[in-house]
Amino acid sequence: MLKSNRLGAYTFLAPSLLCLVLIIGYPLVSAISASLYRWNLMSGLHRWHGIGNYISILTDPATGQVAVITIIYTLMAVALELILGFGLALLFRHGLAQKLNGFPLMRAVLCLPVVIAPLIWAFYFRSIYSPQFGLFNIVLGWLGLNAVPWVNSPALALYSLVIADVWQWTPFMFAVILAGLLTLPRDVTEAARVDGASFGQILWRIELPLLQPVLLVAILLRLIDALKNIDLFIVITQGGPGTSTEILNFYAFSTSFQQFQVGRGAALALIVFVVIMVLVMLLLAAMRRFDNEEKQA
Amino acid sequence: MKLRLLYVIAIGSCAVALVPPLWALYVSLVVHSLSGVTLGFGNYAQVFSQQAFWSSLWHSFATAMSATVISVLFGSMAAYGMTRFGRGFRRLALLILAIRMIPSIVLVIPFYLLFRNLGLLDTISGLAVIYLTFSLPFAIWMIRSFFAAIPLDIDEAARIDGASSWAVLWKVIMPIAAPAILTTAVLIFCFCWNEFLFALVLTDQNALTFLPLLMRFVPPQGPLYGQIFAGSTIYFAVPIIAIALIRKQLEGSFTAGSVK
Repeated sequence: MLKSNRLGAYTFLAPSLLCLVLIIGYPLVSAISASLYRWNLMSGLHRWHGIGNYISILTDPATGQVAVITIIYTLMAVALELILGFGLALLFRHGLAQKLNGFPLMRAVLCLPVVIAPLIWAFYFRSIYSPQFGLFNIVLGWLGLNAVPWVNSPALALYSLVIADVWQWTPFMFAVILAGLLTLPRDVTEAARVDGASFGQILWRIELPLLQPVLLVAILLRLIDALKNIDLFIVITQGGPGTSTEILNFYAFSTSFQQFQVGRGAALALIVFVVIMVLVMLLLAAMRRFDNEEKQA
Repeated sequence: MKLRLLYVIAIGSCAVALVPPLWALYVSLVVHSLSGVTLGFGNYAQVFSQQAFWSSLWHSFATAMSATVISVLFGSMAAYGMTRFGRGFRRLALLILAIRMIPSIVLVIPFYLLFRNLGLLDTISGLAVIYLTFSLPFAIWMIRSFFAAIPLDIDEAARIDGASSWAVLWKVIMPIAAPAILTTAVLIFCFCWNEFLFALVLTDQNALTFLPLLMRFVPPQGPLYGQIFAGSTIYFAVPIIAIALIRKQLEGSFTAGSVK
């Protein structure tokens, strides 16, 4: 039974594999082929272009700006989520370990934003940021402060979207890190405490190294998801004001489905694909390391 | 004193997390009338009276349900094949996890072009098939980790009694893993329920799901927030209730399924 029986395995795997080859393999090949054409659905233009789309994307000065915006948005959002999520996780671990009242319930409440559809979340923030009747400007008004053009100024819009992302996804970081913290072996930290190590020393020298694989997995998962986020951009800014929030994923979307240049759009989408797959490779390597350490423990 | 600070921060962060949904709830209850602003269910009544709202809910449900059932069915079979017929499927498992991460934008363009030719644009079955691109790999990955935790002795015992592999899967393994599979199914349902990009590009009228419908509540003079949030409140109650029902299992399977 335990001896390898590939044929048996593949009879059970067949429906899934067939399915995946059709719905993943075909579209990927088709996207590559589309990216090699100058192809516009509105005008009906459909002409062989070779790697022309890629050349024009890479030599277009606008692409550099898109790349910078994408990097700022992604890194800033994930860094803030990591810091806030880690802090909250430490706090909740303390509360849970001491069996304080209310902490299990608060842990669940804190995770609520993750369950809400990103599109609905985007509408929440479009409304919260609205210039006159939005929550933020109402509160600023109460405090006697001037209204802030949250998403209507090119200087601020990107950071406002970062805030919306952080607000929804910090709980994800929190949940993963807390789960990691709760599985750390307590005897090691107890021993260190008995030996007179401070909270900071225990955290920095013992827990952080032990937690490193979990942190790495959480960071990579969030980087991948932040790069894929498009709902905020479709609902709130449409890449504007000007081009100040034109993130790569949205740029590929608007090129394909608002300007109907599906050839160029497919080339942009494949660039998103390559970037994300590089992160996925790193993620898989991180998970493998996590696995090995588990086995040793 | 220190304990008080702990509570202040914990309660404070819960309050912050709830600000956007509570704000939306408030906006959904505000009714503008000639006599000024009052609270009431006017926006809800307006949304409920629209045929498009109910049909979009049905489309969202039908799409998510079809994708979930197929994913769990095929996923369980694949997971059984990968855990019960010897080793060597680790690479395949990693490949399947990588597939789940593929960005929608790269799939949606070819599917749009393909469905336009096949006449599958704006159909529930078309959209459900596309949802399999992320739900099926997720199902295989999760269920595989559950099946791997079930000792092989159990299969052996059933086999000695003369059961075929097929029977072992359906009559022995599936019932043991039922709670875990239910958790997986609920998560998949929620992913599909919250999916927006595919639905926006590939549905229009006959299969328009709820989230792209919301985009139609945005006339040039600005979104109709009252109605958008009235509908959304109903809409997101569904995953909240579903997840609340399986919370116990979710906490247990979270570390087992997603990190390992």
